[in-house]
This record gives sequence, C-alpha cells and structure tokens, in this order.
Amino acid sequence: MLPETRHENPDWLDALRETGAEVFAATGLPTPANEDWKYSSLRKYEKEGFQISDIIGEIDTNDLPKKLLDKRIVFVNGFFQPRLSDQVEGLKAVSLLDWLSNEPEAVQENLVDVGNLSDMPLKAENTAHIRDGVALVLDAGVHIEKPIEILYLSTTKGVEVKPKYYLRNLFVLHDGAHLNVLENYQGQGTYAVNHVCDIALHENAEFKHYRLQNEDKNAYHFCHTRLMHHARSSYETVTCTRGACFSRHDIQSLLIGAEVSCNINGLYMLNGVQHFDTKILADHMEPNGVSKQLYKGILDDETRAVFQGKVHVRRPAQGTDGRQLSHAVLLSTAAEIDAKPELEIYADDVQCAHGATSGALDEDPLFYMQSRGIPKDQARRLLLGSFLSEVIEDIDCAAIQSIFQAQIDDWLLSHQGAL
Amino acid sequence: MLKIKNLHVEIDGKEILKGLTLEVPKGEVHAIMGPNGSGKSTLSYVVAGRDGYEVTKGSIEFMGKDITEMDPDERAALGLFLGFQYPVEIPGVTTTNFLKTAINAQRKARGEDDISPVDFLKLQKAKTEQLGIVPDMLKRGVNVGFSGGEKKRNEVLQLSMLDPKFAILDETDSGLDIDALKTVAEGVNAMRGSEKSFLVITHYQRLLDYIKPDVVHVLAHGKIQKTGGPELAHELEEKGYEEYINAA
Ligand SMILES: Nc1ncnc2c1ncn2[C@@H]1O[C@H](COP(=O)(O)OP(=O)(O)OP(=O)(O)O)[C@@H](O)[C@H]1O
Ligand SMILES: [Mg+2]
Repeated sequence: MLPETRHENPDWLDALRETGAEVFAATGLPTPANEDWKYSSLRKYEKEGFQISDIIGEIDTNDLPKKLLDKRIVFVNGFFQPRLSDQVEGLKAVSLLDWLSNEPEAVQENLVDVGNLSDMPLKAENTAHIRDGVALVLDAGVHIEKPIEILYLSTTKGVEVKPKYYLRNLFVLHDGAHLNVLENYQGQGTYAVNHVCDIALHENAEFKHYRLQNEDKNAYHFCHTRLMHHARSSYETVTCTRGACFSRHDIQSLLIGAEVSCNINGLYMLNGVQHFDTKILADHMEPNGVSKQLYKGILDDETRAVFQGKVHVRRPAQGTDGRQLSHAVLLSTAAEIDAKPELEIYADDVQCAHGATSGALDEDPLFYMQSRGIPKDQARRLLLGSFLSEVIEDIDCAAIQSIFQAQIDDWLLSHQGAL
Repeated sequence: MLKIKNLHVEIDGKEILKGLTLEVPKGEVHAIMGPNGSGKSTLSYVVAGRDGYEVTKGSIEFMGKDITEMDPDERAALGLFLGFQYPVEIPGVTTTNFLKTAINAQRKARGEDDISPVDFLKLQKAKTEQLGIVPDMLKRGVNVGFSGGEKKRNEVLQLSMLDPKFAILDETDSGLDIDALKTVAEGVNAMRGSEKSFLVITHYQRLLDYIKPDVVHVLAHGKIQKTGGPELAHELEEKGYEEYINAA
C-alpha cells in the first residue's frame, strides 16, 4: 500500500538522509545529562523497542475520526492518502512526495537547511528517515483563511511490530500569503511518531497554526518545529495536548526579519502517568519583534509537565517585546510541573517579562460558588475551564476556538469522577 | 425558619462557637452585633456549610430539616444565602455566567427547568438597574478588580437574583458609601415579606436605621449574650461591648 516511488530519491536527499543517520548514530537518544532533556527520560521509550514500519493497513473513511472542519487532508502512518483527502484550492503542493516530483529544487531549497543536527538527535533520526509528510506551499499573495484540518492518523492495524512513524512536514508561505491550519494527531495502539516541521514565513506572511495532540494514551509523540520568520510576518500557534503517554515538543522560532509577531501558546490536560515536555526558543535577531508565550495546564494523578521557554534578544533586536508565562493547576499531590522560563537579553531597549505559577485549585472560589448553589464538581469544571480558556480567548477563528473549547469541556467532563 | 441549638464549632481544633442558640422565625429580620473575633462570620460560614468548620455538638435546622451534614450547594438550593463579609474573586468566570450557572444549578436541584435566556437577561437587567450596577461589571470576572463597595453591591445583586428564603448578610454594609447603603437597604426591604427571613450581621446602627430589625442579638465569646428589640442596637452604639467582653 505504499505510494509509488517516483522522484523521491534525488542525490541531495540521499545525502541528507545519510547525514541524519550519521549524526544520530553518533549522538544516540538524548539523556537527562543533556540540559535540554533534564526533566525527561527516554528509558521507557527505549524499552518499548519500536521499529520502523512501512505498512498501512486497509483504511477507509469509516476508520477515520470525525472530520473537524470543512476540508481535511489525511495522512496514515506517515503517508499522504489522496483517496481520503479533500481538494483544497490555492495549494501548490499537499504532500512532500508530491512536491518532490513536481519541484525538487524548491523542496531542496526548503529542506537542506536543517540546523545543527547534533543538538537535535531526534530531528537527526527523522532526517535519516525522510519519506513523506505534509507540504503546504502557498504562492505570494495566496490567502487561505478558512481553516484546513490535517489529520495524522497512526494505527497498529495489521502491523506486527510496535511501529515507529516519521513525518517531515513543510509549510512555506511566500510573501503576503495567509494560511490557517489545524493539525490533528490521533491514533490507536502502542506506537511512536516523530514529526519534524519546518515553517518558512516570508515577508508579510501570516500563519495561524493550531494543533490538537490527541494520540493514543500508550503512544509516544515527538515534534520538532522550526520557524523562519521574515520581516513583518506573523505566526500564531496554540497546541492543545491531551494524548500520548510521553510527548515532547520543541519549537524554535527564529525571528530573522524585523517587526515580526510570534505567539506560541499551549494548553494541556493530563492524567494517569502522562508526561509532556515543551521547549521553546524565541530568538529575536532584528528590531521591533513581538513574541509571546502562554502555557496553561491541568495535571492530575502522577503526571508531569515540563515547560522550558526562552526568549533570546540579540543586540540588534531593539524594541523587542518578549513575554512568557507558564501556569499549572495540580489536582493531585503526585503530579509535578517543572517550569523554567528564561530570558537572555543583549539589547537595551526591550520589554520583557516572564513568570511561572503552579498550585492546587483555590478552595475559596469553590466554596463561594457552592454557596450559590453550584455543586462542587461543576464549580471545579467551571474554574478549570475558565483557567484554560484564557489560552484560546484571542483566537479569532470561531470554528477553531469552539473545537478547542469542546476539547476542554470533554476532558473536564470525562474527569468528573476524579475531580 | 432557622433554628440553631447549642451549637459548638471548632476550627483546627480550636473552639470558636461555644453553645450558640438562635431562632429566626419566618418573616422576621434579626440583627447580630458583637465585637471583632466573637464568631459572627464563623456562624455565617457554618450555617452555609463551609469545609473545615467542625460542628462538635448541637444542630442547625432550616425549614424543618437538619442541614448540619448537607453540602453548601444543597443548602443553597433549599433557599439559604450568605452575603460574604469578604466576597471572593473568580477570575475568568463572568458575573453573568456565574449568575446564570447558579440560578440553573439551584433550579436543577429543585427539579425545575433552566431559566430561559430571555427571562434571565430581563431579570438581570431589572436587578442591575435597581441596584445601580453598571452593566460593564457583569462582563468582568466575578469580583475581579471590583472596589470594596462594588463587591458588596455584587453580593446584593446575587441575593436579589437568587431570591432565597433566608439570607445572612455578613457586614454587607461595611465599605459602602451612604448612597449605596440606601440602595442596598432598599433592595433588602423590597424582598422583605411574610415568607422571607434575614440575619443581618453589622457593626453599625446606621444600617439598622434603614433595615429595621425585629430582634437584635449580641454575640460574644461564641455565644448569644443578650437578645432584645431594636433599642438594644442603640444601647450598644452608646455603651460598646465592654459589659459583654468582661463577662467571660
Ligand atoms: N481558619 C481559622 N483558623 C483559626 N482561627 C480562626 C479561623 N477563622 C477564624 N478564626 C478565629 O475565630 C474567631 C472568630 O472569627 P470570626 O471571623 O468569626 O469573627 P467575627 O465576629 O466575624 O469578627 P469581625 O467582626 O472582625 O468580622 C477569631 O478569633 C478568629 O481568629
Ligand atoms: Mg466577620
């Protein structure tokens, strides 16, 4: 069931894979000795013994989760499924394999600059296995304002081993292009998925990028995002995390142009033994950039969340406005959050702020609400829901906002007993 | 309506109420006055059902039912209301949403249908106008960034919208300017009737000029020390609590 092999193996790409493989062979998986991985151990992941798999069982529309938006692009076990996907006007390419066969030079241009792989072992591993992935390419001035859903479904159906899937995703928005996307990660079974996402926002481009991580509770999810921000481009992302037993999200935002705006927000709802780690870097290199990070989450049972956010302001980046906040509510004494917001500033005319809070739900508002007739579990849901909703209140796309709201409501309701 | 018998209450093992007995019949307004730290707020919390206030002896009966073991929301659904001395901030939940949720939760507990959105808005509009509350406050998080007086008005707004059978007002007058005090008193007086009772906790005679109590109690050392008519409040205003403080 693999797509036909077309022009998917140009020399430069083979060389790139080779580099990835060499680096990964040298680094191996990151360990907590690595400062970036201080709070997250991959021992359990290693023990699972995941293996690369190319199998895509028979999947038809009935096997897919409910469509969240009008248009949907579907990937199953790492490969684009044209048969299950909708046509979207205005896109030059949809999948990496497609784009490779049409415009290999353009792909090369967008793919070869991978950064320093030895600092990013999982990205190196992904690079060694580049096959397919989403590739949404918008010509200058093209506007896609209506949100598109990209479903990444991972299954273990018909797969003998515990499978490991790699996706190499590209979003390229040329000058003045607008795009609105919801990436929806779902799956069934014990599997691992490693996404690498490269985003190029050319001048005045605008990308609204939403993510819903709802992987199987036995799955491992890795996602490495690198964002190239050219002048006056704007980026807004909200990641809603509620799936996977282990997930790690790296976001590197390189503000290489002036006057860019970069909002990186997230909300998470964890229970059981889930572990969720986010590492963000906003690297301001040019003047008058705005970057904001807001992460809020609820942790129950024996869950653990890690938030390492850094705003780096280089000397030329005068007039930078950089903010990062992490807030967590702990519903159990066994839950834990490690928040490490960091500022590194070399310019003098800047406005930067950061902060982190965590703690149990306040008893006073709960009693106040109860005294007005609201039962305790409903009062808790209302308080927790409004706590999380702050992350989505500025989303101007109503369809996306209500999808996230529904996720919050659903999680809180399914925890009624535990709350 | 409310019958409290020989009530002993402990907080963290420390006895605060030491055998308090009090009865507020249907249709009456009673006032409680007493020195700081005498247990007035403790009484109001324990009647409302706050966690951590342990009833070690005695009972609280409301409308013929022993409510000592009931959750606060169950008590509210029965028609009990507490106006807080220090109203609590609830960030992220707008006053409108809060009020609607509370009204519907109480209706649900009583087996009634939700209030229609139109009826709710009508009710809210009428009550906010009556109490001179600016509509903008309804869109903000409950009590978040409200001034002391605004918080107290918000308590009275909740009181009049929830329309309970029995309300305890714990120093609802402190922090209010003179005009607000009159408005609030008018709000309470408008609710007064043969079916409703109030227990008004205050330090000031002034409130009792507007809301005329039927009975005044003096609380000190965790017990009702004296019960009398409205004239008792005047007497306290003149002489203070010395007599009761030294009683122990
Ligand atoms: N959580 C608590 N832990 C320990 N002691 C408490 C607690 N809450 C109240 N108290 C004590 O109980 C006593 C009664 O307090 P309460 O608030 O009921 O007084 P009050 O009569 O309402 O006073 P005021 O007129 O100042 O409002 C005080 O001595 C107070 O310090
Ligand atoms: Mg008090």
